[in-house]
Amino acid sequence: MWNLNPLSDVPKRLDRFKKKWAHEMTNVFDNLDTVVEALNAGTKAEQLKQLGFVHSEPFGVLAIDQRGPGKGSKLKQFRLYVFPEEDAEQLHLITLGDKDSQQDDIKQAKSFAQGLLQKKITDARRRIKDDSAQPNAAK
Amino acid sequence: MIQRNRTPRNKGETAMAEPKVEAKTENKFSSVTEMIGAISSDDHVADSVRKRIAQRQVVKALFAMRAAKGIPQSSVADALGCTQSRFSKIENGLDGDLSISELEAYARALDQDVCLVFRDRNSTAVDRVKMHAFQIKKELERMAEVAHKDESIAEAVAGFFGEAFFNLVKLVQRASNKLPKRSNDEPYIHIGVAELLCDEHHLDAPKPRELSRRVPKPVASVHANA
Repeated sequence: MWNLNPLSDVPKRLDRFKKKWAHEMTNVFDNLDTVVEALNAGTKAEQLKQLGFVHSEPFGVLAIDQRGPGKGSKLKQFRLYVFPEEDAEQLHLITLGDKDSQQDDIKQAKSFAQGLLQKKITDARRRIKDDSAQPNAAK
Repeated sequence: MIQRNRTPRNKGETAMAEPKVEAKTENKFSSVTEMIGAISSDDHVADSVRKRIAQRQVVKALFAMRAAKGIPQSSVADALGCTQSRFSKIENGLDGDLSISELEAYARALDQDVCLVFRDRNSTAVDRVKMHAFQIKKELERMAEVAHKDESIAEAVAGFFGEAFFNLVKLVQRASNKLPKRSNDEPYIHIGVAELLCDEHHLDAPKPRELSRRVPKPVASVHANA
């Protein structure tokens, strides 16, 4: 079962947008629920891009938009940036933003994903080092 | 929040971006409905999200199955006898907009059966547990009937019965562990299936799968003694 891990930026931004853009916020979080359903059913993160409301960003970051029932194209554009950590079955919700903050949001999301990937690489290297050190110690 | 300090890079080392944002280790949620109430200070938004999710449960379940099986929209649209754009509207719409024939055709395209359950609106949790228990009984009896056909089937069914017995009791035990305790800190009920099986049959660590293969008989005797 996938878990959702919202970073502190998400509630702050939600608070900022919820009054004026309630419909868009509802659609974004409804779309997030669809993504979680799909992941729980066994869909690979890579396959999620086939969803009309999911956009692919660098380093495995996905952007979930506001498309959905009601209002049609009149909806203001919003994106929720998420990073699916497949081995831990965790969906990190990095930040939420509109078109104005898009560039900064992508930068922030990329940085988060890179940080997480870097940490995984460092941990893996440490494990390999530890494993290779063990037989020598036994000798 | 885990904070990481900037570490100096060695000459020639690839420039990987510094991890500015790190994963929060607390506040994890298993669903959006659970999360939205906790992160939104406005009940209106949380209610609106919950309502929308409730209105789209069936289409989402169908979509999730389609995505997991990697079946393209066009295949299911063909099965439904509609255009891809109409199908896209169905998938992005509400459960109420989906007709029963569309639901059936969609499910069939995914190699699924549709089971409709009618339940009394005033039914209690006890009624629902009984309903499921009755269904389990029916399925087990059906398996027992099939077991008459062949000895190897009988063996497999008996093994599964042992596994099912253990798992069902374990399930009740886990739920009972969530009960509050009496004022004297004693539990209201103690279901010690693991100890029972260990004591009676000297199993070190009762695992359902092993149990089914190794000791279907003792399970039956536990049942008889009880």
